Amino acid sequence: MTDHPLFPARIETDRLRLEAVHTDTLDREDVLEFYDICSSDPNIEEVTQYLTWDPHRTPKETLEFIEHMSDRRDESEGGSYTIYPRAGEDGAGTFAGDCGFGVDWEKRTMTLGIWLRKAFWGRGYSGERAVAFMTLAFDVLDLEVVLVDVWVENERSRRAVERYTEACGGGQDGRLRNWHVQDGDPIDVYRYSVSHEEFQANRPDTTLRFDGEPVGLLE
Amino acid sequence: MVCLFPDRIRTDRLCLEAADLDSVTLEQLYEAYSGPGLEDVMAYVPLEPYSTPEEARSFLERAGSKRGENDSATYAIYLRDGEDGAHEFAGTTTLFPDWDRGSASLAIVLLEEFWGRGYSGERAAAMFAVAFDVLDLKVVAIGCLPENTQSKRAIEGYVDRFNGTSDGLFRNARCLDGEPVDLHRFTVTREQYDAATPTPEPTLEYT
Repeated sequence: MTDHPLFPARIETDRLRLEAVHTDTLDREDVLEFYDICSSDPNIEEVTQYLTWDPHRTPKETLEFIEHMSDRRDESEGGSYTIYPRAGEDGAGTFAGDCGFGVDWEKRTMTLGIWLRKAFWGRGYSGERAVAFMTLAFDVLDLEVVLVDVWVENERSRRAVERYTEACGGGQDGRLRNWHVQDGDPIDVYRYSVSHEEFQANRPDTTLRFDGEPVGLLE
Repeated sequence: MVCLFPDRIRTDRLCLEAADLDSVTLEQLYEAYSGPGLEDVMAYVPLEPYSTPEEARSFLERAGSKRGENDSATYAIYLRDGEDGAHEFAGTTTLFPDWDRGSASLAIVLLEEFWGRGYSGERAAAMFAVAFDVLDLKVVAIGCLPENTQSKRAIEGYVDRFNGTSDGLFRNARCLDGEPVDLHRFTVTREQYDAATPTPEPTLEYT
């Protein structure tokens, strides 16, 4: 079920609405819409260049991704959310991309990931969504550190991640050599992190709702 | 399965013997790793002093089977002739290859009476030779808890000799006794190793 006692089904930030991805709430039309974008959206090759997946070749791949993320959610290991700009934004209500998180309960960490359709780049959506997940990690899940790994060659994302992690009091931990395997080859990543304490001291002033309830307000 | 790891490695002052139920006696390992005086030795590693010989037996059995599967190579460290304490068992060291990532990581437990002699660096040079010259891996990584200042100094010394780098302090990177801990990570790449001033080459032996 999308209903999860810890992970919200819907997250609203100032400009975005994030909807949990789960097989229970998506119908065939949703899956096919998801597939259209993951397979043949304009610039999809550029969008996926530094991601852990390649453009989908069949709707079955899209469905398997959705099923995998549903299982992770059911097991409390992570979640995936589709991104929609809210009213007032250019392209309000359209599917703008997908973001998610993985939780390592033993290490008390959350790792973030996101991709946006190219039409939605450059608006600061990534940072806005990151603050929402950091709030979830620290205020709700009581985790200690939020992590973001960026492929060293992905300079565009590095700049964005550097900016929002530093704004929240964190920053780069260092370079992890041969850390991920991309198309069969090991690649290096830069790791950025924000701790619970750093976030408390640098919490951005923003309005957030988890399943309709206001959260993350300054105390 | 064919084992890719050398059975024995000789350096200037050390002899590393592949650890399994044949090469190291249970008595030796149990005596060395059951204390007393191991608090400092094991303070920063995922290992507790043994309380029964069964733990020593299962360690060696596991080392043997991991080695047989080419998953990891654990060696018992002995001192060679001419060293104070020649032929004594001085500790254990393990090379953990990650074949998909083309990397390996190192670990060592060295008994306290043998600290301060530069053995860790000498053993690291031997592990680099295995990782790069034999296994054709691209990166060797060494992790260290920030509060383990003595090991950190030793690692900085030998990583520097092989042109390697300190890559950062990674938060909540590992769990030790169920608690998340931060980890300094150092690496030496294949290119850095190849460009290093040659030290006496370790001798790799297969039996």
